[in-house]
Amino acid sequence: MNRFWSILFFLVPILGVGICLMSAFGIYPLEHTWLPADISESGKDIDFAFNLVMWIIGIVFVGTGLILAMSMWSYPFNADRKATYSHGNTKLEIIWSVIPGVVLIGIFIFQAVYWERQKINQPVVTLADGTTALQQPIVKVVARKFGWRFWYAGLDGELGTSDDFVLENELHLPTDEPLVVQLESEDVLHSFFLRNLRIKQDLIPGKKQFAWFTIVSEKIEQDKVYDILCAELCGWGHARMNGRLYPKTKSDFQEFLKLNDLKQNGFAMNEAEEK
Amino acid sequence: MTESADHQKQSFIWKYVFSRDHKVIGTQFLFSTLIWFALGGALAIALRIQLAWPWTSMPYFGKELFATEGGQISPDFYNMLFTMHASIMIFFVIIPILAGAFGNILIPLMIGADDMAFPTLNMLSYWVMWPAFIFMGLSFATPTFGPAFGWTANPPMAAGPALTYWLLGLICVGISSMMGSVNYLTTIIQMRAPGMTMFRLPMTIWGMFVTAILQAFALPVLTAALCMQLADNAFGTGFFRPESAASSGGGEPLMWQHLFWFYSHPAVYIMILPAMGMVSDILSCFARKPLFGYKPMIFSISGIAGLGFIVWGHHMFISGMNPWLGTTFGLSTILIALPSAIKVFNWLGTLWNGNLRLTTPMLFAISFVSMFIIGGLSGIPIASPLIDIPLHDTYFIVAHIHYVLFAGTVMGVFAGIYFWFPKIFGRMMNETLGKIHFFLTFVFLNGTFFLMHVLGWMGVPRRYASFQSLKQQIEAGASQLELTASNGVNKVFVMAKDYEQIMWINEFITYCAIGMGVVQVFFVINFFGCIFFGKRAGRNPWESNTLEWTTPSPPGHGNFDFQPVVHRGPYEYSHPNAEKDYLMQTDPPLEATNQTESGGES
Repeated sequence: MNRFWSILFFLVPILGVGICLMSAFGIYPLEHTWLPADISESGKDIDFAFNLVMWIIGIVFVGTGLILAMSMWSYPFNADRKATYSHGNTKLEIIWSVIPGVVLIGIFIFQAVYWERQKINQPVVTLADGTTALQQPIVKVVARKFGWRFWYAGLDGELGTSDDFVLENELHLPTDEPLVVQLESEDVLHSFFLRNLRIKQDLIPGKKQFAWFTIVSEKIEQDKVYDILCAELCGWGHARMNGRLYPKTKSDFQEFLKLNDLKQNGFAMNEAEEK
Repeated sequence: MTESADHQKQSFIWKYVFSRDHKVIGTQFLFSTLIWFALGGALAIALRIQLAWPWTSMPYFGKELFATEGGQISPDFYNMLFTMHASIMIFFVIIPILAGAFGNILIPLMIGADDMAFPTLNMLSYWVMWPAFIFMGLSFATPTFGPAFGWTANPPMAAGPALTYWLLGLICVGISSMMGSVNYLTTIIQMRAPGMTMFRLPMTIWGMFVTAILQAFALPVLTAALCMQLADNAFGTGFFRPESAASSGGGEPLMWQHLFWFYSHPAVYIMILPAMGMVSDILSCFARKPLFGYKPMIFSISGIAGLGFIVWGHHMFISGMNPWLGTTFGLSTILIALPSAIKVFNWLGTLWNGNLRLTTPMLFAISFVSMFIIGGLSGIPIASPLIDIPLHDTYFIVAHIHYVLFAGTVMGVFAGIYFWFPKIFGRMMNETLGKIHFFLTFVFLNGTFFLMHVLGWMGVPRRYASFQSLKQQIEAGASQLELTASNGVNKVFVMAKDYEQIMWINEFITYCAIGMGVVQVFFVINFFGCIFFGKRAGRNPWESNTLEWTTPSPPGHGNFDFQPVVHRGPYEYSHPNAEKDYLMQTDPPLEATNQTESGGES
């Protein structure tokens, strides 16, 4: 019977790692279940860190599972013998404290560099007089129950001016340039979650926050739209709080800005043109 | 023996209801928590049904409560289900079953005391749970707007009368835990039997001791935060309510998260350290081998407890707190994996070269180790603030917490129940039923929780009432969009493609969850059947070393029918000079080897 239990416990890491590999390599029935397609510039580093950690923990998973199963397999109860009388081994304790310690701190240092870029160092731009300043946001994201309102800076590229316009749940952004978005909430906590850009940031009412990223046009499939989810419980409509991200080339984005500028601010001009 | 003069003439009420005997109080905690466990589990199955077959008629209560909607639950009710599931499981099941039930029953017995240091305080710590039960019930029953705010109750979303009841309930739980922790600390420090030094205490007691320290230091912070939110909610103060369009409080919502997690992260260790202790004792007993690295184990749990106070920020990496804090909290969180790893290696060292009796409690204890490995390892990616970005608030977190707290702690609790049942009730539990229960629970729990990791790295957010609405919403959005977008041709939606996968995985998980719920029948039959009809247990049915096995089963009032004197550590199994393969802590010293076997040296 001990062999049965031993095999049962060894099946845990085998099936567990098997499922992870099936998901990672898209094997039936777990295709399309790995990390979502990455369309950002920095996403590859997060994905690399994730993959690295998954390999490390996968090896530990199988190793420890093997030792567990082997001790169950090899040492079934026998009334005629006694177990090894040992209270421990200092050398072993040191080995299995130091090695994981080094690996863990290594993981931490490795990821800290990217964390700093992702969340701490907001992009800067060089101004005409040679000084640098924080890059200004191109869109203001205002979350409220249960939708996303996107305020576009418009043609002048500055928020809070009369050419700003608003779209509900539709985020159009240019590709291949560093972007900053401003994040606000009108009512409760929400979380701005762009799976494909590896962006997630909680929004706090009364607090202005920023997120920054670059969309890479080469990673985008033709005419694909990406989802924007709310990842912080905000009420009964939490699951419905979905927006859509439309990546656009630089020229398409300029056209989009002009079109909306006309719609919102240029009725008179529009009519004049028609005449 | 303060009651020795008058305990003879106690009436039924004072003997079994308002008892000051630690064993009766512990048993009261055990029964209450097991009933809540069944209720919390039923809520989990209800929300799993919603996830697998969204917006279909909910069996049983759906027809009663939501007759006008054809039995389908509302999204708000879904939120209430997971809120109550978490609140019940954490505050009414895991914390009180470990500290309240096992702590009460085992601490005096294992240290050789006749009762707790403060028996009346001990009784109160149980009876204060009842107002908590009532408040929580009222919260759930609040008409129109129940507790739909998640167990973290983040302001400003959490509000209303349901929140008031919920907060009052938690304050009562906190008071109960504080009374308990003061009692446990005093008892363990002051009332140990002669010869029972701190380094001869079984790991169970070390687990309880460190847990009591955590509770004593972390709970006041939670209680203060609960009172502040209560004032916000009931009296209109503005500690946590922000200045915004919806409210004008001028408070700081992040402050609540800091205060809440300052308790609730140590609470995760409160919910696992005693189980780790119990599992250590059970593994050593059935491996017939001394616990590998007794002192490193103690230093590890102390390390976990110490670091446990400075890791709360890892729940808040993306909450909007200063990202530099993410770096420091990330470091402390990654470091806490180290003592956890040391514990796992020492458990494996205990099993290696043992003489393994694979009884039901042993199988549950081994499965604790096996499952804690998964829960511990899945903690490493989310300890890194960078990798946490895509995983935060997804099903990966749900998988992680359930591998630690269900597959870990609850399996440890089952191990403890099967192991100490003979001591508590004087009868053995049935081994065959126990093994069937173990096997099926083990299979179904992995079926339930493992694939949640997959959903997590897919980026499926937690706390979504359904993913159907997401698909419909995206499709509806698409048709509107053709009008505005300049190049609106056949759009492919990323989430819509994942949707089929999400649905079958969710269905599979739900079947496993229902299976896991159903097979607990084996436990219920075994438990209640054996209270009355189990084989009678002697004093020491498992041939274990610790002090509780020297008492009669069940122990009478005052526990010990002799004064226990401790001569050695708790793990002297398979001692080469001993006749049998175990040496109880009270056995007289072995003549020849008096020098080598004192204490629990490593």
